[in-house]
Amino acid sequence: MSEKEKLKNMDPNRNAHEKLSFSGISDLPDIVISTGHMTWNETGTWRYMKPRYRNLVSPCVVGCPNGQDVEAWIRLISEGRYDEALEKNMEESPIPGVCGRACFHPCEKSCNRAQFDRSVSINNLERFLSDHGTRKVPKVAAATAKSVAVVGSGPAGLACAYHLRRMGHAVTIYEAAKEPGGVLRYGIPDYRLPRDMLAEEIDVLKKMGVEIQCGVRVGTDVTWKDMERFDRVFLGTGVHVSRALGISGEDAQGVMSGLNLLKKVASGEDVELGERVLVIGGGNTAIDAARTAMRLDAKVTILYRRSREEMPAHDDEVTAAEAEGVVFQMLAAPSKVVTENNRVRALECVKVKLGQPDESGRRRPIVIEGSNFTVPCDTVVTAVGELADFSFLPDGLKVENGAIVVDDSLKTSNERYFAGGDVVEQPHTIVNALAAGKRAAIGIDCSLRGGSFEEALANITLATGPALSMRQYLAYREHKKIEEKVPVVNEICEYETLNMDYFEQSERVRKAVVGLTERMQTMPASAPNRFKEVELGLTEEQAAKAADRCFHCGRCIECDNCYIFCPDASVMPKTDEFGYAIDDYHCKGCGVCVHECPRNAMEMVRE
Amino acid sequence: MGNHAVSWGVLRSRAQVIAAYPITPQTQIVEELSEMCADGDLDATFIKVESEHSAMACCIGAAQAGARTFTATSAQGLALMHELLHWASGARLPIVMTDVNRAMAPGWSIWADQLDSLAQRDTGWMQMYCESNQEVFDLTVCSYKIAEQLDLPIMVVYDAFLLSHTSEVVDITDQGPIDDFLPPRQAELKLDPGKPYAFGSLVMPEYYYEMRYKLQEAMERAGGVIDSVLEEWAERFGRKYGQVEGYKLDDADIVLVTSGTTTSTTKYMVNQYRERGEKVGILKMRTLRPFPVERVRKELAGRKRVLVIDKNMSPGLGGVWAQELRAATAHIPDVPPIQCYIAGLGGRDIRPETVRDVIEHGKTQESLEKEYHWIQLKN
Amino acid sequence: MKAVSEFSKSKRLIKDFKEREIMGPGHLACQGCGATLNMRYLLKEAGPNTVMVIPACCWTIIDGQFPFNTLGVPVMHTAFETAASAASGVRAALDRQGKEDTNVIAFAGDGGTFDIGLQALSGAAERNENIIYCCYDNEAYMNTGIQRSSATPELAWTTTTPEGHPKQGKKKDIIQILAAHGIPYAATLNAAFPEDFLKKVRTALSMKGTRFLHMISACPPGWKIDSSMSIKAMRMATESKAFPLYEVYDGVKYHITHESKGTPVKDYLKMQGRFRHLTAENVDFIQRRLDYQWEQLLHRGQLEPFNG
Repeated sequence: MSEKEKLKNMDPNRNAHEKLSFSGISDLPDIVISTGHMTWNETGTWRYMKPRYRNLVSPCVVGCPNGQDVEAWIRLISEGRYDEALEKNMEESPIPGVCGRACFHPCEKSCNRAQFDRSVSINNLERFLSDHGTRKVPKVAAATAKSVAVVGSGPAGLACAYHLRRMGHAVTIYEAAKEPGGVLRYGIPDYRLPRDMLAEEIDVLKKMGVEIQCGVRVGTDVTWKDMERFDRVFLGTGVHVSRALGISGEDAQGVMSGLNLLKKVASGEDVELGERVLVIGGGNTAIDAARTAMRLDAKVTILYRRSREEMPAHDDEVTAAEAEGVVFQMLAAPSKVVTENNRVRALECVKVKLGQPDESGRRRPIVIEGSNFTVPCDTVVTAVGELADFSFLPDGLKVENGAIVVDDSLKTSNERYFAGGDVVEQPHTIVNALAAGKRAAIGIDCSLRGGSFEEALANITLATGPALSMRQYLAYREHKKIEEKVPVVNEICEYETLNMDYFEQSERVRKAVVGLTERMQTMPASAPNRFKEVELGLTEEQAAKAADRCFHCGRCIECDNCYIFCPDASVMPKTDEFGYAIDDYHCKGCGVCVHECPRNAMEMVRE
Repeated sequence: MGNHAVSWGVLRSRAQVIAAYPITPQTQIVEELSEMCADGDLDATFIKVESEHSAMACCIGAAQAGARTFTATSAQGLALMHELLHWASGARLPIVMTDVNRAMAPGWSIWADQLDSLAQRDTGWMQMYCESNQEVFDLTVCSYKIAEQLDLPIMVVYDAFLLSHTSEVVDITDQGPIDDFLPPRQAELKLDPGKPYAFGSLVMPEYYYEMRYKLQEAMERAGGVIDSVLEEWAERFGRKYGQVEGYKLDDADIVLVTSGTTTSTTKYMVNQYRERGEKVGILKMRTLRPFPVERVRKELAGRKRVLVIDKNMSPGLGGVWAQELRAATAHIPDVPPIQCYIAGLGGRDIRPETVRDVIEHGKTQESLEKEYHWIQLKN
Repeated sequence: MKAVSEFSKSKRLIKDFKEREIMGPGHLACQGCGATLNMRYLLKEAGPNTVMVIPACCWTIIDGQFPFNTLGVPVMHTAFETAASAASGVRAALDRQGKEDTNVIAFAGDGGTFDIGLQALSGAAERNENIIYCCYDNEAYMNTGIQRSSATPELAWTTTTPEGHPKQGKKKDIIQILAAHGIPYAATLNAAFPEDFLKKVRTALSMKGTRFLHMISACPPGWKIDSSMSIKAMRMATESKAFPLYEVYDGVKYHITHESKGTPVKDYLKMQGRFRHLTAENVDFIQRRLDYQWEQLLHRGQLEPFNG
């Protein structure tokens, strides 16, 4: 039976049509009685435009440098499918728990909802799924007989190892420190990023068969020559050298870098700070160092040469530090470390005012002559930026402007070496490092398989990029096409194209933090849980509420609007699969369904 | 009274849905039916509507849903219903209605005159005119049987006051025998939640013509059905009626054509003429639609004079009965010119003298000099 | 069982939009017809045990020509002014057949309700006939080519109220007329608010007596809007207070079911060609009129119904 015939018979309320046409008075009924159904009337012929379903790329997806399919896992959270949400997230990243806590979440800036009221709490939801979903070890493809060494186990290294392993390559991570994780382990304090959680995520890599060798410094403990047994090497060693202040007395006892302080604390070493600690800098390391010092019974002052607005640190972090009692001395710059017996006694400072913006867009500080003042202190912690140390690198790798030179696929000047993360020129963030690890994994895989990276890029770049989709790459490298529930057009769904009639303003969900009183009580160095995590995750109720605020930009979520508002009863929910079927024989092409789609997941097309 | 005869006829016919609106002179029908329903003598739903138009609409709705229905009206009320009279017949609904003939306003008149019902000639309703209150009762019951056999609506018509408010002895036949004569209505196709059919849809030119053929075809069958129902009634209850009835007609040279109560007065005068040896007779018309064409051709052929007493006037042409008879007998040899006498409009009495004047005037008319004659017009 | 499993349903606009489709496709409505949606929603709730009475109106045509129809329930087409009276007759006959549970629904346009059918409707309401009377209001005689009715909004263009002489006087307040009869239920419905719409149909179905449902019904050709805009236009009608959503119990107890957002009526008028000729003063006047009428609505009674 043809579809046409089926449609004609689509008539649950009555039996076969009685005689539908008449030759004349002999078979015409005596009364005007209509028993046949109008279904025969193919009103589809009235149409010149036709609705169709197609998904777009939600802006959060490309707002994430790592191309997380944020909308997809938010939807799974709202459906209570936490395991699947976590699995979805882990298609693109090995460390959702880390990102859910420590990512600076640029996705929320691109969230369309930000233009309506306030953005969806994507970061909190990512932490929620990592807390509430059960971690599954991802599938590893059949072994390829290729091997890759990953140097450094920070976010770039972990991501690169994770994705390469999924593709079936043998991967060995070399980590100089005792424990894996790099900056995640040693650069972010425990109260922000619990070590157990990090270990749990790294454990997934181990279970996948990634070999992790800790306490091995490449170039020292093993030679670069030894690396030649690997087909490719990824360099993700990060930056470790603190920028110097460039003032006198900097070498005195009692002056230490923020990174060093954090690393020591994270390694469980005893740190003597004295009573008064001065932290110099306005970035996240400064705040982390200050709050860590608070937990070591110090009185902490942060010295920053610009004003609060210019601080590069997360606002939330600054606020938390303030609440915990960190004092901020703004518009002041250090001029000299005052020492006594080569031991810090005070810091001499100078007041500054702000002038014209510099190339970073922030107003340039200008020293006010004669405004010197002295702040007594026991320890000075410097946190004014980090530099890479490339002295350990093998010979011949091109380095420029303090970064390893790489091409689009993150290949270095030596085609066997790839590099990513803070060692290349890119923003020094976890999520950018993750993205670099992914990109390098794809670059390495292409070069191992002799495939074209450019061609791959064309197939897996999300909308305008630069974010890449590992989900799409895994299918692409197998020459498979992903069967999407709804065909996807690789364009961003803009805010203006949403139908705001269907959304109401709502409060952004705020995650809870451990109460300040409790925090203050547990902060003394004597308290056993002084590095207890400060931020609490969302409750299920909160998560549902937060997920419910998602517009699902450009994505059909079966809201039924098209079905409900069809005047021609020509949109039918599919019973056995996702989405809706449009009855082409009867759809008159009025366009109501497309106009009333809240999220621009439909369009009218010429036939 | 004639009105009570209707009520009893409706009671005996076990009507199920009644909808009516008061208008003199039919009000007593409604009043008595209300009591019958209220007392439980008649197991029917009486919808007391706000107009005759709605009365007919209710009947149409109820009949479409399969019920046996009844309404009654007069004059202006019937005119207000006009649109729906077409609807009832077009939808082939066997609605029975009483029309108590009353003149149309203005000037206001509540008295007898046939124009109200005759003006509904082309609405697709059957019409039967009554001479006595017994006829009113009998024909009311027979009407249900006729209408339901044909799926056509029918109007039972009689004169205001002369019958409606005049007391006569009427034999109200017992319920049992009438139940045997008139079984409950069995509508084959009706509004039925189990059957999602639409009634009365838009009909395109491709079928409208044939649908009208069907309506006419039913009307053509109607004569036979009326005859057989009336025959059955006569067999069962001994009271015999026809579509036309003759009175001293067989050998009559002068034939008076009458309808309704005019017949009774005319009979009195015919008897007077017969006593003088003049061959005068009556052809009493009962059905306007279907019009008994063959019957009148047969009865009027070979007469010397045909004098129609029309208690109505169609402005511009004259009496309606006369026009119908002329049309039916046109080009039939042996039928003399049909003389039309307008009489009794607006309740003016048609007295024996009126009939006498018609006969005497008619004797003088060899040919058709005038389309119609005014009789006893006050100068 | 997760505490939030309920939330998964929340993305569906309506939680219990019935799957059953009684009105079928293939009907003869124009693209984007609001009247058709009204019928579709209504039948979804009323179900197959329903008899529909349709007087002369757009739906006479929409239902399709002999020997076809588009509704999955019995339909009685009837004369223009007889929706309420014919439905009364159907009701009486069905009751006598013991089919008291069958819904008898009259479905008439604004012309057949506000104008020519008002008398019969008043009669039925006064008798408190056990019927649901629906008026789908597209605010003019659309089927005959957009002539003004007493439901046409003030200053609107129609083919009998040309731009130079637009419709004078405000739209007839049909709900007040029905409420004055003291019928058990009268409500305004808008297909752009399906949840509210269906809830009111359910309320009506749960009651006996005359229930009156007044449904706004966008008409793309008559309102001069693009067919894709009909839901939007209807939504704006309510949000701008031009068509507030409320219900009246027993003619005395008022209940506003959707707090209009107070969208400026200018936005609603601007999107429709039938208001293209309005001056700024006209728009201002209409806005003040609607504000006044909304105020009036807020002051309607909250009396409990008379109870012997």
